[in-house]
Amino acid sequence: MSRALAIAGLSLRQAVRSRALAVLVILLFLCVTALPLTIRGDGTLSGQAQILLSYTLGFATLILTIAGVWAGCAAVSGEVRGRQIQLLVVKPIRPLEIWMGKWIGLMALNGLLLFLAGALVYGMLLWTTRPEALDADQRRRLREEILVARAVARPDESGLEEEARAALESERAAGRLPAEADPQSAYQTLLRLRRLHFYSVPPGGVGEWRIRLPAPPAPDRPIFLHFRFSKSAMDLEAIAGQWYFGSATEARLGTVGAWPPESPQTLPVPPAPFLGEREMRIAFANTDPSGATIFFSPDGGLEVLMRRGGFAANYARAGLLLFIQLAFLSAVGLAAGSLFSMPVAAFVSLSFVIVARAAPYIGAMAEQRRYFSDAPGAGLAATALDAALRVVFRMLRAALAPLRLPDALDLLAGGRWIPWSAVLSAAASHLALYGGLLALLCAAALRRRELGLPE
Amino acid sequence: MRRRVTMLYLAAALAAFFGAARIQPTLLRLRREHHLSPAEDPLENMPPLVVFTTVALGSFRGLLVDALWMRASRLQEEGKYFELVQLAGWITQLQPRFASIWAFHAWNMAYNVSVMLASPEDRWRWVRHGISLLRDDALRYNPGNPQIHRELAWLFSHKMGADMDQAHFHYKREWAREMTRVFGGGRPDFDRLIAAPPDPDALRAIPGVAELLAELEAAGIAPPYDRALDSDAVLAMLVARAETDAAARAALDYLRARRARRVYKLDPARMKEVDERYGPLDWRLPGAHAIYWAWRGLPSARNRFDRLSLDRAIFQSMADAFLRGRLAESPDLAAFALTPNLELYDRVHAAYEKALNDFPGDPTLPTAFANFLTDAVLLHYTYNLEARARAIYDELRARFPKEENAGGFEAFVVRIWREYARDLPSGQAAAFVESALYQSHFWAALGERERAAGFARMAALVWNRYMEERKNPEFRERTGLPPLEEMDRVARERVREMIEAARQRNAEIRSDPRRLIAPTP
Amino acid sequence: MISSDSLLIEARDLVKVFRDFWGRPRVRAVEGLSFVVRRGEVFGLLGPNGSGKSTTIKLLLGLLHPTRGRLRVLDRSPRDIRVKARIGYLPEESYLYPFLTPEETLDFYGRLFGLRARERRRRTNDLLEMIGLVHARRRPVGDFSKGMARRVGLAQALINDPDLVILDEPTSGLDPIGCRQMKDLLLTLARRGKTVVLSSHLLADVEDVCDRVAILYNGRMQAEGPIATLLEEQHVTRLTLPPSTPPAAVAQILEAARAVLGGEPNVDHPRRDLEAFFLDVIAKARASAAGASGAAEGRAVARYLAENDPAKRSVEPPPDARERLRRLTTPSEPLPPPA
Repeated sequence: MSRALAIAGLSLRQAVRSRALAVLVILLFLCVTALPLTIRGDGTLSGQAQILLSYTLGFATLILTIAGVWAGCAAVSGEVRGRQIQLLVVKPIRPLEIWMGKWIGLMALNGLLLFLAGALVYGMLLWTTRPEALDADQRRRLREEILVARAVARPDESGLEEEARAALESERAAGRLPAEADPQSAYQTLLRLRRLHFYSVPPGGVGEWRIRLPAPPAPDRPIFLHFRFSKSAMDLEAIAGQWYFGSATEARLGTVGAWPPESPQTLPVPPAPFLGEREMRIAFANTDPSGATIFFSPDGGLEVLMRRGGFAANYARAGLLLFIQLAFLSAVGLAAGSLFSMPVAAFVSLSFVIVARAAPYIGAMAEQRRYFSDAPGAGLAATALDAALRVVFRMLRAALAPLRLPDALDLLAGGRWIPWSAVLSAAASHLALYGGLLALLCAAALRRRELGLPE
Repeated sequence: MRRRVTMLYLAAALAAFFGAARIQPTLLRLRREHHLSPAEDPLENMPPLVVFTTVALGSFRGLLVDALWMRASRLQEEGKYFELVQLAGWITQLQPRFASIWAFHAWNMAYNVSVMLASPEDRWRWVRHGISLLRDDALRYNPGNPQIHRELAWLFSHKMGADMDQAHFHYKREWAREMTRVFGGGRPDFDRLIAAPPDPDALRAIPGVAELLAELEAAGIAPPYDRALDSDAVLAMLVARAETDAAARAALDYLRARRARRVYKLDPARMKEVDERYGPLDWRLPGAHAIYWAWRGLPSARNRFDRLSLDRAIFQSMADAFLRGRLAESPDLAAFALTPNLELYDRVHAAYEKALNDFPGDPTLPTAFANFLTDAVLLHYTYNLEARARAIYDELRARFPKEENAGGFEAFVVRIWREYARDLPSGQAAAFVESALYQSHFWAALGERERAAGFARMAALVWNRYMEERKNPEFRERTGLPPLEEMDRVARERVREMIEAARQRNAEIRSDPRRLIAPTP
Repeated sequence: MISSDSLLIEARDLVKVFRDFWGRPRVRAVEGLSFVVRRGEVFGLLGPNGSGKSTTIKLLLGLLHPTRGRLRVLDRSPRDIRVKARIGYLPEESYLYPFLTPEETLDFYGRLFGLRARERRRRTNDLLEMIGLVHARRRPVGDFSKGMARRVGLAQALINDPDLVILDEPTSGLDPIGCRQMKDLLLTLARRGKTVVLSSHLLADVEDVCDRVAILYNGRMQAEGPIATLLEEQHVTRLTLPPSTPPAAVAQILEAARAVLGGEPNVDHPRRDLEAFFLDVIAKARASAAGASGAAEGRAVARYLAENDPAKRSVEPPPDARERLRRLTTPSEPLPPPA
């Protein structure tokens, strides 16, 4: 370990004494200070704060990612090219120690720079949202919805499985279940139907949901309802309705209004009826005269957000998540640099970064069925191409799935709570597991590699 | 061996370059012929960012645009709108020549995003983002592009002018407030704006201005004094002084012309031309701006489709202005009513005539024209201009010899009234209720009480019936009429003005009988 | 038979073939090399450029892996970390980190050997003193001249007080004084019982300090043994007479000697210098290489040689050119000036 630390110290020394670090620091500073001035927000201060969080910090992370990956590529391949590694491997040091040392050095650098950028953005954020620049309403909105860490709770679906099983039994008892039907798939279908039913509200009907709150409500923990629904009619006219909020015993009319479909909506929930209780009930009465059924999306179409903690600590956790991501990607760069020489290594690892960044799009593409064949006049070739592309996208999606980390900046900009468990599990998977695997792989490769080969 | 291969590659590259050089002039010529670019070189006159991305990214621009567009769709889907303005800016500027991309993103912000938001203020912000994208950016990259002009006119005439949006009253009010701030009212003094000092130096050269500007600076308004228009107190001071003080007048004109040009991209000289050709228009209303922008696009319209769609934007906005192109407002526009602007009849008529002449065989034009004439008959009749109404009816019958038009003037009026009383279109509602109230006050002023009461009953009947069908609070808020008392007040005021004007004219004629034969102004 | 624990290095039938990207053999750098190095010996690897010296050294260090054959260093595989702890290595060129100072360089390598901080400090000071760079201890190595960098390289090779010191071309880039100091140092190391392996193409280096040398050519061992043995010429006898001796006197002396001994007189064993010996070995090897290991050269190189061979370029070379060619391949005579 002390040998690895010696190597890490060497990397740090090298970075500090090279011009690249100074350039990087200046670039980060420029990015953090100039970007918010050139990016056009939506014209609101809370939008500006979100831009700062997601764009500025995102850009800074992108710069650090590229720099980290590049430095990772150069760390080993540069020494191979400069042949310093020949003097290194004749010393009593294991390839694993060399690799870990390099990685620790990169992580330390990344951490330092990320800390700088993060502190700078935080300062800018404090300055942008300084009290005298805001009116009371904006201040409240920022405090309650953006500069806060809110935990999310969703409706309790635990009764649905039992209902589905009971329905299966009654179908079977009534002899409506064909003999050849697979009970498991019938159960799944019934469960899906129950779930759809659970989240839909017919015209004139009332939907009701129980939600277990992440913490007992308190006056200083405002609660918000986020919802988003589709409607059975094909237009985008708003649906009139009434929201009720309450405890297990008492419910009150909360808000009367009309909300457009297919768009995320937010309502403040008055905390009074269920103060002190961990469970709340919400209900929606569909009073729209148009006679349309509405349907809340089962994946986050109905959620309650509640203040869980302060912004600063959440910001720090987001920073840790970003750091883990950076550390992992620099390990990828380092691995590429241990296996290939420079231009190839940079190409491989930057391609990896781009593909990993495009994971959401790849996921979206994998969902799609047609890419070319729906164009007018597309022939058999287009259909075949589509099938092949779909396989490629699905494979990519499957390969990228375990690499996905929670989008820290997105959560941060949405004022969502980042749990410590997310940080720890990211560290376990991306640093310990993947980092360890890369380290072992590269150590093995370094051990096998003949470093004294002539040019 | 290797050298030979290298030479071969070099020769191929040279041949490719040579071929490209041969093709380039043809390409440029084709581009010009098909009006794909206004300038000789497509990159000329482009902002540095666009030139840079075009040259540096080459064909990868398309990929980048795709990625940005996908991000924009995803964020929009998730209801995260705060990045959209920037993303739309990047996407459009990476493909600055595609008018449809500009149109899409402007539409997306003004229509799709705005309706997702609850508060009228939030919605208005997104409508403005859409307008600004077209007016401030798209037209900079594509000056004169007919499609962009058409889309811009559409945002004014439909998004803001029509009553499809729940918050359309808010848009109209906010726009009218802004325009009042710039022009002082619905009728800008075009000549003064045109003659306003072009720059701060010219302004300063006017006697007395230097002192005034010093005063402004003392009040915390720094050069170039744009903020003077934003401060209610300073603006009121300038307006009050402008009555008597030439320096204040010049400063005000300068500030107004400057803001009209810089912020709203309105050129006073062109506004004047539009107003003379299609007006008089109330420039506080979106319709006037729809006409302005459609008209600005006309010179570059190269095919029938472009011309027709721009023309249609103009005469539809004019027909709309005829129905509700007058703004009757309370101070600071807290409440306002849109009432008919009968002065526009001849202009709208001429516009339809011209369109019918220019686009023979277009199926929608005659119908639109017939609807306009029908409205005109009824409005002139209810505004007590019976002779004019009869003349219009005659024209309608001659041009559209349909059976339902043939039964004589009175029968026609009654039929249309009945139709409207049964199912009044929201566009005509205010005009007809107000015109009935106008009749009522007019006859009351002449002492014909029963007739007056009859019109008042009719107005109340139509108002009630119309509002009866709008029980849904939202629908009512969007397409509802102002309270009957408010409309009554507006109509009474209009009659009073009319009688006052008639009185004055009588007095003038009495003092100078020659006026009787002079043409009315 | 020598006991194995006194053998620090034992190489038997070493073969190293460099392959190209597709795995095709490109160069046979070492071909059937066998030698041993004993404890306390100064062993020299001698050969012209491209003869396989550096490859052999890199095999000893584990930087290259032998294609075939057996190689033991300190009785273990050269890639064993315990072996590495006892070796000091001075590469042919400076492979030092240019951004580190000599002090930091020595400290860094000291840490890799697991030396404690105090011990590192002490050795760093001693070594800096030894190489005479105390005044430059805080300047980055990247700013150094080649000779200075080489001295830092030497110091790092000694930081762990190694049992076996391997030096690749130790005097290259050094001025005459530096060379002398280097040789003195090598002798000092030898006196202190260290085993030294060095490679060189400078014969003077080897001649002064080596106990034993191996002469390599084309990856093969051409000659090996103690220098004294190698340079002895048993079949030649030389009688040295003062220069003023008249020819008649010489004839007389010889006659007398023959008469006395009944054969040629034997006065002493003359010694050639090492350079002559070396060139002779190489010339012989080259002559035989034309048949045996000519294929060892890569095809591109072979073609290059063929294209540049004056003998092949003209169909019938003029007689004096042929003569020059013959002399070129037999370097025992000085070349006549070109016509």
